[in-house]
Amino acid sequence: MDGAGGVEFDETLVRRVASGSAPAFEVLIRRHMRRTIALAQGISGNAGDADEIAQEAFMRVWQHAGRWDPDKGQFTTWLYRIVVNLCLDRRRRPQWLPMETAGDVADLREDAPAVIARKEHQRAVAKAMESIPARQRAAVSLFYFQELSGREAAEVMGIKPAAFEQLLFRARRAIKAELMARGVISADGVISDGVEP
Amino acid sequence: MTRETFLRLLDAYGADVTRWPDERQHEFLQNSSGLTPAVSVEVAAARRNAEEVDRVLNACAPLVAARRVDAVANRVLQQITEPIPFKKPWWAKLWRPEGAILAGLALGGLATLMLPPTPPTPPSVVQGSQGAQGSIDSLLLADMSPLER
Repeated sequence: MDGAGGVEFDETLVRRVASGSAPAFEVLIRRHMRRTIALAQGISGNAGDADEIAQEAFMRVWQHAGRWDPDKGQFTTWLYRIVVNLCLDRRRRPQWLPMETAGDVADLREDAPAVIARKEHQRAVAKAMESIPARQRAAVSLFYFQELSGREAAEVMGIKPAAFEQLLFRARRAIKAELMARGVISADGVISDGVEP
Repeated sequence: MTRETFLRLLDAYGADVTRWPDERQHEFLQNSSGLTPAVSVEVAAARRNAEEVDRVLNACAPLVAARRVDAVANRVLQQITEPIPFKKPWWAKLWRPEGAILAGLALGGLATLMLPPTPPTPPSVVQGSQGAQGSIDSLLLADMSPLER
C-alpha cells in the first residue's frame, strides 16, 4: 500500500497489472473509467462510441501494462493518449450529441428558462464541435472538459505546447463563432440566459 | 505583454489566467498595466467574452452516469476473466478425414516424383520376332528346357 488510507498509487497498480493481477486492474478501472469515458465522448461526440473506446482502451492497458514506463509520464497521460489515438483512428464523422441525448440526467431543480438556455448552449457547442477537426476536439476535451494543463494536454497528444496552443485557439474560435451566431453570447460578452428582463 | 498576445491567449486558454502556461502567467503578472479592463474597453469586452465562453464550455463537459461507468467497467472485467479460446495448431486439421485425404494425396504425389524413371524396353526383344504374339511366344520358350518345349 502506497498512500494515505492504504490507497495504492497508479504506478503500483500498473506494475501489478503487468504481472497479471486482475484485482489491481479492477481498482485501476474503477478509479479512471469515468474520466476515460468522458474524454472519449468529448472527442467522438456520442455515448455509444465513447463506451466502446473506453472499453478498448482498458483492454490495451491490460494487454500492454508492461510497456508503460513511469519515467516517461503519469499513467493517466498514457491512458488518455490511448483514448485520443483510438478516437482519431475512428474515421467516422462525429455526431456530437448534447448531454441529454447521450443518456445523462438533467438537474431537476433547475427552472425552465435556465434549462432551455443550457440546452441551447449545449446545442451550440455540439454544432461547433461537430464542425471542427478531431484533433481540435481532442484539444478542447483535454483542456476544458478534463481540465488538464496545456503542457499535460500537449504531452497526451504527443505534440509541442505551442502546437497545442494553436489547436486550442482555432477550436475555441470556432466555438465562439457558433455561440455568437446563435446569439448565446454577444460580441461584448453578454450571455443569453433565456430569462426575459 | 502586448495587447495582441493577451487577446490571443484569451482566445486559446480562456479568461482564467491561472490556467495559462506558467511562463505566460509570469509574463502577464510582470507586465499587464495596459491590459486591465479599466484602461482598455476592448480588453474589458474581450475578457467578458472569454469568461462567457469558459462558462458555456464548462457547462457542456460530458457527464457520465455512474451506472454507465459500472456497465463499461464490468464489460472489461468480464472480457479479461473469460478463458481465451484454445486455438488448434495448423497440423490438427490433418487429423480430420479431408485433411488425411489431402495429406495422403500429397505424400502419393511426392513418392511418384521420387521414383526412378522406368527403363526403356530393350529393342532386341521386339526386333527378333515376327509381330507382338511372336515376341511373347519366344520369351516364354526361352525359359523352357528342350523337353518341355
